[in-house]
Amino acid sequence: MATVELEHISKIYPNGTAGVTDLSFSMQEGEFLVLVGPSGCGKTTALRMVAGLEEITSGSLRINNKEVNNVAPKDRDIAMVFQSYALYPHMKVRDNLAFPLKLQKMPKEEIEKKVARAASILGLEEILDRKPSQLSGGQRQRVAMGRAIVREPAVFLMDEPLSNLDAKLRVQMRSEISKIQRQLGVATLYVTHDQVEAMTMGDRVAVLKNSFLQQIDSPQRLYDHPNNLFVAAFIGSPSMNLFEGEIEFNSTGANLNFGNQTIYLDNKVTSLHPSLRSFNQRRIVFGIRPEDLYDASLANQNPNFQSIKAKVSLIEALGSEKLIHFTINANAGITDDIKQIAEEKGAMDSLLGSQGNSQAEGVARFPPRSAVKRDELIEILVDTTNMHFFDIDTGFSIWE
Amino acid sequence: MSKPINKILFYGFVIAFVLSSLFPFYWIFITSLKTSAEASQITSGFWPSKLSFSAYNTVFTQDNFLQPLLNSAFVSLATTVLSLITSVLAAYSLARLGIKGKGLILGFILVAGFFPIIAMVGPLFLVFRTLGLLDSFTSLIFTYLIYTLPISTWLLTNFFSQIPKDLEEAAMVDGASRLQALWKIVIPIAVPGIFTAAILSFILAWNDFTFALSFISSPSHFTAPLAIVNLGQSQFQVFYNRIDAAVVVTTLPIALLVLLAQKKIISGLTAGAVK
Repeated sequence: MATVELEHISKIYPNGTAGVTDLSFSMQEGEFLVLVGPSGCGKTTALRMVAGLEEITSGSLRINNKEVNNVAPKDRDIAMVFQSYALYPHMKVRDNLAFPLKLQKMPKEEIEKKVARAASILGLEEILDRKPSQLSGGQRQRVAMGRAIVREPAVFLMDEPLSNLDAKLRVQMRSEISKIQRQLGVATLYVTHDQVEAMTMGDRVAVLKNSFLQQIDSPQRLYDHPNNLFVAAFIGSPSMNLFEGEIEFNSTGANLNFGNQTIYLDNKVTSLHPSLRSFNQRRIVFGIRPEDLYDASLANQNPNFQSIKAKVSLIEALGSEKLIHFTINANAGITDDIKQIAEEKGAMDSLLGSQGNSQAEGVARFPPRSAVKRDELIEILVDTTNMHFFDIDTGFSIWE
Repeated sequence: MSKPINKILFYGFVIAFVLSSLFPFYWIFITSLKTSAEASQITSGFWPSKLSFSAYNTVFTQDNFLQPLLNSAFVSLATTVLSLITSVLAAYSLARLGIKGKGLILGFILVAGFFPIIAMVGPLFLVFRTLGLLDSFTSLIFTYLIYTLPISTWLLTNFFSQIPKDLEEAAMVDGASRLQALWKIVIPIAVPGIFTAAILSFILAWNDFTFALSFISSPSHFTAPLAIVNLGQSQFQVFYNRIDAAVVVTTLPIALLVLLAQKKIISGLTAGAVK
């Protein structure tokens, strides 16, 4: 049974801008669904429409099989965690937790029991008698969570609940929220701009861009089979390497020409992407994940591996691996989408730098024992079976 | 400020300023403690030769000053309560509901608040005469609202605008209606602002003389300022000690209230000035 169902939901603001366009998905009982996308993509608007804080322009929203388009937030059986936590500053933690129950006119003993239970789940017992101003950021976040779970609602709505925490605490709360959600089994709609949060927490992830849903799938499916360039570039860190090339089919397979290099794709590889054939002699964008690039001096020979040459521009040694930034003689597969993502990820400069002189930048994930050096011209092996291909005009993935 | 001469000049000026502003109050206070005979002497001194509470006694027994005090209290309280209820709702709507022309409305409200009192007296007199409301508390309360509502609405609109919207939205998701969110979340947080608006309204009503003089005619309806003027005057003598006793009694509650609530008023008046 679906807990939350959105059917062709749209939000158009009075000034004509679209907040959300034709959004449809349904959440199963106990499912953790993450809405992710760059700022202004409509993810928070979508969440607020489910909460009832934003009017729905068109479409139908159902919670527990009841249409709630015109139902007030208080009657939707939802609980929400706000980005700012929205703790009531004049109430003690205890009263903050009890507030939703008091509004339900629940008997006092029952309220106390439920508050105590929520407090023990989140470890708030010690601070029940403090005011929000006396709490640390992490504690406030917990209280906000507590106020949501004390209601035992049909759905949790969370609007970037971790964005105000420092990095360490964020990682810790990430797993804690996942754990609590699983323990309670309450369907959760979670909004974030952080794709790592989305990937690690969500049972499914919905990627939005410019008010449109791009793809909704399990994190692994999103990663392995992105629908389009935007999803391919947005999901994964470091991002997928995207270059422009021209594909040319022959009897044994196809040649992918870019810059002054060629990657040979044999029939086994091209058969993974049957419709690639219709792009014969045309320019396309191809993508390679950083972990599908191998250090030629370390990797074993494999018929699917094709070699390319690149110049190392920067090495980031992370201990467990080395991120090798390289430049390659090719056009970067830059579309407006990619620019937007690069801006979000703060990588615009390197992208723009690579645009003019047909030098593209890329990243490879090498094992720590790799001996490549900065400014060296190296040989990189590409695992062609894991390559991605995109229509350069529409941005769509080329699969079937 | 480093040179001692500057310091002496500065403190000398401050002391002179404070003394000159406090002196009238001091004079009123000690005159109220003098006997009628001493108060009417031209050579009356800076300290009563004999402390006497007879003026207070006479004011409450013979002059029945309690009645005007109660009248004032009733009129001021009624004004304050009505003003608060209306201005809280008005300010909340202006702050939250995205009303079109909000700036214009607020500007108009501000102008109304600055309208000269004396210009209102004539027209309002005619209005109340037509409505048969002259010599009634209603006429005063209604008139005071003309001045207290703009101030309160302005103050509270600013105050409400600063309370994060998230809090109300959280309350509404938590199961509150909009009115419940206003009552249980917004108003408790806005207490300093509401308190300030209340005090300002109360003082405005409590201190008014012009309107009371114009609209009220029967002594049983006199408010305190009006009663003071009609107090302690016989054909041959002005009883300054009795007048001043009444002034002290009228001023003291307000002064105490303001002193006690000083901190809240200041935080109410300056809220949002600096984040």
